[in-house]
This record gives sequence, structure tokens and C-alpha cells, in this order.
Amino acid sequence: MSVLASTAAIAVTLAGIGRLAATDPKRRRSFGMQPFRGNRQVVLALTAVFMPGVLLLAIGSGADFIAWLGAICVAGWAVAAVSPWRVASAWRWMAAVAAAPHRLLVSAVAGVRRLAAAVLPRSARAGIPGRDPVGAADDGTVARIAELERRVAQLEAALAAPSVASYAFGTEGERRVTRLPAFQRSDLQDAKVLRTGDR
Amino acid sequence: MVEQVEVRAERRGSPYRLVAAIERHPLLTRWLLAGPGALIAAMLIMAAMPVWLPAGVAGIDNIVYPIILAPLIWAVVFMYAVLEENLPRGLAVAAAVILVKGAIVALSVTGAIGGSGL
Amino acid sequence: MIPVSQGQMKRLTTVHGWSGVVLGLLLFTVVITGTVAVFAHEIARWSAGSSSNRALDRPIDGIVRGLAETMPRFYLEDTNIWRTDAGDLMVFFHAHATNPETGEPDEYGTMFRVDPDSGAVLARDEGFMWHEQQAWEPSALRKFLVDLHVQLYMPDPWGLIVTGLLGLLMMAAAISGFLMHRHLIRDLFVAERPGARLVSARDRHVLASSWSLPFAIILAFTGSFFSFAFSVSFPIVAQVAFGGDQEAMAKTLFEAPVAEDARPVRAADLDAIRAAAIDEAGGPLTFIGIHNYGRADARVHVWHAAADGRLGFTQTVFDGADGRFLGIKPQVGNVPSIGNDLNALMWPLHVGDFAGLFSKAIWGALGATTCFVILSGLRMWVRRREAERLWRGFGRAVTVTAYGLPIGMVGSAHAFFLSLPAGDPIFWTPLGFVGGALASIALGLRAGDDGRLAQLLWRILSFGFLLLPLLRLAVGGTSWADAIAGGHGEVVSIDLLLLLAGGVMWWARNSSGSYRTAAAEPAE
Repeated sequence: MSVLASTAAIAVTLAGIGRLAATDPKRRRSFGMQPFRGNRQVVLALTAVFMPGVLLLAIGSGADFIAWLGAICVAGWAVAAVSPWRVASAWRWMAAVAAAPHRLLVSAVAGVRRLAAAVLPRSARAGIPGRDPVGAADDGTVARIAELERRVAQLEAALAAPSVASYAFGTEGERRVTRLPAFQRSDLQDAKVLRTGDR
Repeated sequence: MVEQVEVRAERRGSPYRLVAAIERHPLLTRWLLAGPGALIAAMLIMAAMPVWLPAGVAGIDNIVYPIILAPLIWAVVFMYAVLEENLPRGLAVAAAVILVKGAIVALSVTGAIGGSGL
Repeated sequence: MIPVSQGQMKRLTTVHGWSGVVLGLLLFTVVITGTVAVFAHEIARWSAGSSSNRALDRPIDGIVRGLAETMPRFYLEDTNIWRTDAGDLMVFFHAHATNPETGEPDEYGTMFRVDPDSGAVLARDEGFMWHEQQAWEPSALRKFLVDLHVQLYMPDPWGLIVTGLLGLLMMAAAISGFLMHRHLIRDLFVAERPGARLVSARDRHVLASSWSLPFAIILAFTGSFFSFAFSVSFPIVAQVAFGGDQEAMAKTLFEAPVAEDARPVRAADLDAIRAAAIDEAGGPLTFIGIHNYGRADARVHVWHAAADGRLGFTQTVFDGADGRFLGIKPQVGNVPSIGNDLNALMWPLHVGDFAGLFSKAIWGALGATTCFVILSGLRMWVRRREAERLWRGFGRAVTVTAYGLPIGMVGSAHAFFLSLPAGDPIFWTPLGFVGGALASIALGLRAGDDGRLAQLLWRILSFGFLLLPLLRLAVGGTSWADAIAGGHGEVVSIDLLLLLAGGVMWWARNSSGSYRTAAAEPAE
């Protein structure tokens, strides 16, 4: 049994799974993301997924293969279970750290705090009714929801009381219309996804 | 459909009466088939294997295979009982398996035919 | 993936859902205790305060020879030699006799616990020793946790039959789930969709179960095999193939035929046999069984643990009179066969101990994934029926069980350590589990809000983790300094893991957000 060989095989397989996950059309559609533009390289990714196992069977031992199989069943789930928004956020963080390495320590501490706050409530929430779903949402999602709610509140206020608007903004005998901020198309799509949760 | 079978039962006798009875009580039949039926069939299939399985190079395969495969045998029988669309056919298959395997076991236990373990 | 008709889909859904609801919590008990039992040896070493890899790597011939000279010939029919997780050498000289309490054939003899370095006899006991676990089990905590998994701490054979049936249920649930899922491959990367709606709960369950499907079937199948093999299948096959003579069947499967020769001879040097065994099949050696020690027809069977790419045990056989190597014996039968290969796969596939901590970590993760699958499935069931009081109550039961079992296991550990000074942990360890479980149930019956209940149980569990290492040290357990000096790695590492788990859980308790009962959702 070569732990090193098994670990290397698991890493290669996970890279293939990660590629397939990142470019999967249904996964991207479910989270309101644009379809992947470019070559998915499905054949290459599938080769990366399965070839390490084949090689372990051929060159390694049965123990290596069984360990690899068990590990990718769990690790594959872990890769697929992380939402693409969180993955994108992680990539952005890594890019920011790479651009400014001296901030790595500060970012690492903040990242660990966010990760613990995000992961632990999820594991405690598994199978238990009653947890606040919004509490586990991505920080970006929370900010988007807040922005959408603010805009909806503005619309509702404007529709409900046009005389108030004219009183607030118009002079005697004059009526001035305040132009409301236009909704962006992507915000509408996000609102639909969040509302229906199904695409 | 049940009425047609019942008319045929009147004319032709017990097999069609049995089919009619099955079709009057599909849920009970399914429960019997997938519950005690699957369990008994699986146990008899396992019990009969030492008689007809070859002993293999080491002379023990016919003893080891049924012990190892017992859970899988039950799973196959159970899933068949759940998935079979034609209940009378499912019942017939289960009955045939139980009768045939049961006969093999009975003959082996009474010494009429041998399990090759001895 | 596989086309099924509407009627078949309805039946599969009924089987999958109702089998999960009726027996899912019991299955969860087996799976979560199994996840812990993967690390049974590590837990034994940590709780006993010392570690040993149980290898028979020190001289034993002088010790065994000296003890055998004091034994009546009757007791030399079989001699078992092994080392406990705490490092003590165990030597059990015994013969076969009918146990008057059970009416079954059993092993009666004298068991010695010996210091492997000095050879000093630390304890000597006589009787049907496999029933006297305090004589050979260094950790009542490990024994309890393993028994809880293997037979739900129920008496033989009912416990084994129940766990066997639960294994069959798990297989049926996995297969029916596979057939129900029309788009298994297409949904393989669909993470839980946001919004915490019913479809999100479905995503959570489906994703975890799809990825863990192969091992769900393997673990269920091998678990059922172990439960039923000796309790049900063996007697049935023996009845058909050997006229009911189970002893004859056992001899056919496990023993090589030996021509009887009762002449007394000087027994072969066991240390020379150990060295030869390692040369032939590699180490480590974990068990030696000697048949007819001191006779011309003696046989020495040496068990080699899984290592160097071997998935299962290897058994080498030596002549007990002159120490000649007689060959590698398969686990069943006397020559290699497919039946033996299949049988040899069962243990490593179920337990995952073939590559030390590396494979155990993977198997622990697989067990945890299966727990997640069960709980997420039950949660989905409850979410669909939240409007009904019965199912809200069931949801409460799921919460209590999900937390109550870990709390119970931690409670058993607390009771183990607390009862160590009094010397009767075998009695108190199970009671600690019962206490922890009952406390969780009591809180579940009293709590008004599911969210507050989960939060409270979370805190109790984190507190339990944090206290355990402190309690272990307080009752005189091995200190970290002594553990590091003595190379008892598990003592320190498990203490640290418990402190880390408890600490992170305690710290995260306020980061988990507010709890409120999910409002009833409109039908999807």
C-alpha cells in the first residue's frame, strides 16, 4: 500500500471532478450563472477522474484502489456540495491574496472565521428542522438580497404615495417626477432564482 | 378487468379464481411477496446452494458462496418482488422458487441427495 | 437512469421512504456507532492510557513455554497468544467444553496477562474466559462502543439479527434510491440550491446519497454478512451440507487435516517461528494459535495483519514440533480459491483498517457521509409533512436522536473514566450512555422550540467534548508528558481532537444564527 500513490491519485481525480463541477451546465443554471463559455474538456476531465483508479489497479495494489475509491466518494461529494458562489468567492480571495501577499495573514484569519461560521452551522443543520436558512447564505448573497429589498421598498413607497412624492419634491403648482433607479436584468434573474430556488 | 377474470374463473376453475383473488387484494399480495415471501425464498435459495454449486478447487466454494451472498440474494428477490408489475406472475415465480429450492433442501436433509460438503 | 413505470416508481418511493422512516433512526444508530468503531483501537489505547500496535514483536517463547509447563495437558488443546491495545501479552490455554449457562460449545481454560518485557505474570484467570471481558479487554469503553454497533448491545442472537436486518434495509434503500433517481449523472454536481426550500432539502439528500452510493451498498452488504454469517447462515448451510454438524463444517472451512500423533515432544521455538513467518509473509504479526502444544502433531498458525498493500489478514502455518514452514493457509479452505478471496474481502471492505489511519480516516468519513444521508432524508420527509403534528413530533425525534447518540457516547466515555478508580467500568460505561441518551430525550420532550433544542444539545455536546480530556487526566490518566515520552501517540492526539472539536463547536454556537421553526411552505 502506497499512501503517496493513493494520495496522488485522489488529487488527480479530484482535479477532474472539480473541472466537471465548475463547468457543469445544470449546476451553473441552478445558481443563476451563465453557461460555461469555452471548451469543457469533458474527455480530459473524465480521464483525470478514472485513469488514476485504473493505474492503481494495474500498477498498485488492491488496497490502493479501494482507498482511492472510498476517498473520491467522500471528497467528490465535498467538491460538488460547495456552492459555485462560494467557489467563486474563494477564487477571488485567492487572487486578491496573490496580488497582495502581505495581507495573507489578515485574510487567512478572516477566511477561517467565515469558513467556520459557514461550515459548522451547515453540519449542525443537517437533518435538523428549524435553522435559519439565510444565516448559512453566502455573504455576497446576503448583500444582494439586502440591495434588492431596498429597491423593492423604494418602488413600493413610490407606487403607494405619488402625492407624497410631489409634496416632497415638487413646488406649489409644479410637479417633479423623481426617476427611480432602473433594475438590472441580472438582479431580476437572481430574484427569480432565490424566490423559486429552481431552474 | 377483475370482472372478466371472475367470469373466467367461474368457467375454468381455481387458477383463475386465484388470479381474481390476487387482483382483488393487490396490496396484501405485494406485502406478502416482498415481506415473508422474499425472506423465505432467499433463505431457501441460500440453503439449496451447497447441493448444486460446484465445490471448486478448495472444496468449499459451495459452502462459502451462500454464506457470503445471502444478503445479495435477499436484495435481488426483494427488488424483484417490488418491481414485478404482473402480480400473479410474481407470485407464481416466488412459489416456484420456494417449491423447487425447498424440495432440494428437504431431499438433502433427509439424505436422498448429498450436499458435497461431507 | 433506468426507466421505471409509474407503478414501479410509486412502489420504490414507498419502500424507500417508509423503510427509512420506520427504521431510519435505528439504522442511524448502527451507522454512527460504526463510524466511531472504525477507530476502536485508537479509542482503546487513548482510554487505557497507553498504546501498542499489538504486534508480537518481542520474544515470547520462554514465557509461553514456562506457562505451558504449569498447565494440565487437557488445556493445551488450543493456545492463543496476542497482545492487547495496552501492550500486555495475553496467553490463553484452553480446551472445548459445553458451557452450562448457554448449553453451547465454548472454550474453557486459563488465561494469563503477562508483562511482555519482563515476563512477569500480571493476572491469571480461569473459566469460560471469552465471557470474562475484564480479564482481556483493556478498555470497557471500546468494548461497549463496538458492541453497540455490532448488536445494539442486545443479547445474542437477537442483536445480530436486528443489525443484519438493518443492513438489508440499507441495501434496499440504496438500490431503490438509485432506481428512483432518473437523472443521477446529470444531478451529480448540483449543489444544494439556495433559499432553503424543499428542493434544497432534496438536493442535499440526493447529492450525498448519489456520491456515497457504491459504499452504501458495500457497507450494508458486508455488515449484513457479518451479522448473519454465524447467527443464521452458518447453521442453515451446516444443516444442509453437514447434517447439522456445525463443528465438522468449521473444521472443513478453517482447519487443515492433520494426522493424529499424541506423542509428547519439545515444542518448536516460537521466536524462530515468528522470524520465519515475517520472512515468508511480512509483518506485523498480531495473533498466534497453537493446536496441541507439546505434541508431535502440533500446528502453529500465525496471523499477519493487513500491510504492504495486502487488504486482509494472511495466515502462515508451521509444524509445532520442528518449526518447519508448512505454507500460507487461506482464511477458508486449504488451497487458494475464489470463495476464500471473497471471504477475505469482507472485513477490510467493512472496517477499512488495511492501511492504518489513512484508510480509517476515509472509512470514518464514509460513515459520517452515510449519517448525513440518513438524517437529510428524514429531514426531507418531515419538511414535506410539516403541517401535520405527528410528523413535527417525528422531526423532534430526529433532532433528539441526531444529537442524543453522540451525547450518549460521550456520556459513556465520561462514565468510563469516572468509574475507573472504583474498578468497575464494565458496569458503569453502558449506564453513562443511557444517562446521556435519556437526558437528551428529556430535553426533547420539554423543549418548546426545535431551534432552541438543537442549540442546547449542541452546547451540551461541545461541553462534553471539552471536559473529556480534563476528566481523563483528573482520574489519573496518562499525562501528556508521559504519553509523549512513552510513544503513546493516541493519548495526546485524541485529547487534542476532543479539545479542538469542543472548542470549535463552543465558539461557533453564537455564529450559527438565530433559530426559528421553518414556516410551512406552499407545495412545490
